[in-house]
Amino acid sequence: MYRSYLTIASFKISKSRNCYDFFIKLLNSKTLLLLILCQTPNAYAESLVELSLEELANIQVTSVSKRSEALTDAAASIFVITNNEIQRSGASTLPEALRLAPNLQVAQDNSRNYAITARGFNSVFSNKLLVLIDGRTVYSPLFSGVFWDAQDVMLEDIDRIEVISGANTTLWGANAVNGVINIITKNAKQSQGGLVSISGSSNESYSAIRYGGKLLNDGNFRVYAKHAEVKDKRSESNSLSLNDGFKRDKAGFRADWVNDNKNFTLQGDFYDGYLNQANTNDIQISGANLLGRVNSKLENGSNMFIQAYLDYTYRNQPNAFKENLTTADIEFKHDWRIADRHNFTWGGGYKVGFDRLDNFSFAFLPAKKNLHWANIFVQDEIDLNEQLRLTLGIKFEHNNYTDLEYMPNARLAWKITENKLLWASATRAIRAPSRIDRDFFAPPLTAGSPNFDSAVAHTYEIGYRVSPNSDTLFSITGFYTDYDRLRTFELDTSTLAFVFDNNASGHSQGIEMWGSWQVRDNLKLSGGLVVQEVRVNTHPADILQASGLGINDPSSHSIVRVSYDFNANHLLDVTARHMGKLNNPAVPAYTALDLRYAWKVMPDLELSVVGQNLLDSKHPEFSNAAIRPEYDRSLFAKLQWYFR
Amino acid sequence: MSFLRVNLILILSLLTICFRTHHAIAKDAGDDLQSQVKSAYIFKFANYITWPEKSFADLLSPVVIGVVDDEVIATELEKIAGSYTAANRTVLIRRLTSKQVSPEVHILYLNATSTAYLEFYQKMLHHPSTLYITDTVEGLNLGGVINFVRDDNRIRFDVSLPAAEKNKIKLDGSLLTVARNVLK
Repeated sequence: MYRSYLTIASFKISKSRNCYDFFIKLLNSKTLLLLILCQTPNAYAESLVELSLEELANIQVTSVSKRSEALTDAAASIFVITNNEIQRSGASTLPEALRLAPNLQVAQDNSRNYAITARGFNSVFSNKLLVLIDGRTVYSPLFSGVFWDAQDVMLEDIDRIEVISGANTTLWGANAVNGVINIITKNAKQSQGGLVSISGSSNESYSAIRYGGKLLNDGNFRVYAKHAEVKDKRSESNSLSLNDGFKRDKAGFRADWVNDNKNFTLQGDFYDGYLNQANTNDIQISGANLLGRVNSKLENGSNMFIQAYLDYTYRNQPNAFKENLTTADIEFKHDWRIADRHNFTWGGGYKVGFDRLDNFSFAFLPAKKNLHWANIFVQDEIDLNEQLRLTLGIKFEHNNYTDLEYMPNARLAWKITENKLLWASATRAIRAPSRIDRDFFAPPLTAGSPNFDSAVAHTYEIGYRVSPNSDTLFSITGFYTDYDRLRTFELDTSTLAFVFDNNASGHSQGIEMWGSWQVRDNLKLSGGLVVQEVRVNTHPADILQASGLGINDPSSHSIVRVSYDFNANHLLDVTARHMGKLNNPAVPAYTALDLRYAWKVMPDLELSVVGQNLLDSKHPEFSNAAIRPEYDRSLFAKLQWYFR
Repeated sequence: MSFLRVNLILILSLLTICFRTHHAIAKDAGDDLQSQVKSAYIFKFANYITWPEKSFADLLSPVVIGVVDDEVIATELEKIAGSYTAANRTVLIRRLTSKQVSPEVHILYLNATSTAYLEFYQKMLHHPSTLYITDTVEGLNLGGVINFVRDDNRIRFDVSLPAAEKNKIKLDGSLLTVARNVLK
């Protein structure tokens, strides 16, 4: 056994220089197979001896993670997906990882696309949820929404995903109407060393490699590359191929310099991919971004945050459009404490988007357009007394289409005891027009409307959060949102063209709750439930629902998770999700059961299997039967190997 | 990529075959790993210690690690000792019961329960230069040289330099840099 470990160790050293070759060879390596055959649990203790004292001091001795952060003080409906939860869920893609947040509705539309929202209004064009990856927004100004098929992150390097349901416009601004997804990756110091991750099923395969090392002046870096490949699925109604598979490659880096008073981050990514499409050539996507960020503590005790990025995205949908969008963004935030009772924050930002389109069967006009967004905000957190904190804030945002918008927000938090918090909030949020609402032309029938205005939402929330001890957390939020000027799609009788307009109103109300309980060191239970009602009072002439731009929401959805460690090397996770039925297009309710079993063969090597959708032979999740696939039982296998 | 998948499936089927009767005993999670990490530490500590010359009869004499009333740690250490050496010597593990005196022990591990016998061992041990490793909050106060602590879900250790001096053992500087606290 000792010999076989050494064999693999020397193999590791000699081959790690050529990483790609290496993991291919690793998989073909008879040594590894031999090692697995011979492996007994005892080998684990022995291999620990090969670690340095520092490395021993870094081993976490329980792997069912406790809450990573004290969230009991946040006066908002915020759920945090931790790195550990992502790893233990067996998720291979970002949208799949988002299923872990009880306050998100995640519906897979086809192999590559998703409909994701919080608090209703779900659609593949859902436009009320803002998504940021390390502070860079991926919300497209072309159609106000997220091209989920172009978003990818090395999941192993995510530190956490903060999912905030409800509007929090002072900090996030326009389009954060129903929520914000804030994806935060680890800083480079937390992702040192090498990692190879390979996973796949009969339809999907993913491989990723990352290496982190040191830089001058106490800096750290990591570089990564990821490949994803998913096969086409078949239509539920006629079994024809949907041509919805894809291939996508992504690579990037992150460098951090961290010291007591200043953190500096420089990061960038680039990707390209081919998305299959029915009856025409593949959709080509590519993009790149470069971001710099400084967080510093100034001498007077205040904090300063400055961030700037450049982002380029390219999307060529044959026979539809080709978009080249270059975005430059700069923002800053400065906060300090005044008179002991006020925590004052102000900031602002400016973003410019150079949008260049080649139009085909329909058009965005003008084809070349420069989009501008500018904002300024102030927020004051006032300690009324030791238990009561009032937060008042307002953001002013200027955009090309509707000029100046204002978004005020008030929050009151009552810290009843150290671990009980009652909070309430009132917010005005807007969904600003995008190019599709204003600049879209498909002559002779449809057109964007020059008068299309922002949708407005007024949200009222009340929430309670209790954490009786570090092992238990429970959160419940009640919400009511009143929507006005929602998008409609109507026949303009004067021009006989269908145009976008703002003639719908509506409301949503519901309860979100979730909790987690670390029963023992090796057993964690968690779960969440959302019950909601989403109502839209539309104009009689509106054909939005029939146009495919409509919304489709369940009245409830829920998730239950059990994480159990048989011991430090054998981990089990069971996840059950229930999604209520959707009405139009009709999608039956479904319950999906996923099971993951992981075996840490050595401290650095983990093998896992994930069984997905174990309860039903297959189920659809969104859209109508002709264009949607069904998701069947599948078996995923994954190998994850850390090296130095 | 399909050949990758084939290999993965192969590996996983082999994995299933290997899955015999591993770990039938249900214990608190992390217990196994904690014991394994502690055993690895105990074993490796020998590399960071200088004993007085007389402590070893000759160059071939083994390092002797005594474990008092702890089957799990003793078993783990025996497994390690079967494959590895420490301080360029073979390692011998002695399982001791409470108040059982061993003629020669270079390292003595006492868990939370058996730490109560630390004073007894200090008086009775024939070997004057012993590294006492304890595993309880009061470990260093009771005379331990190194004491394990659980810190932020990790196993760390504190060191007492006066206790090391009293037992005539020298601790390497790199051991001290990894220690959580060093008592001077």
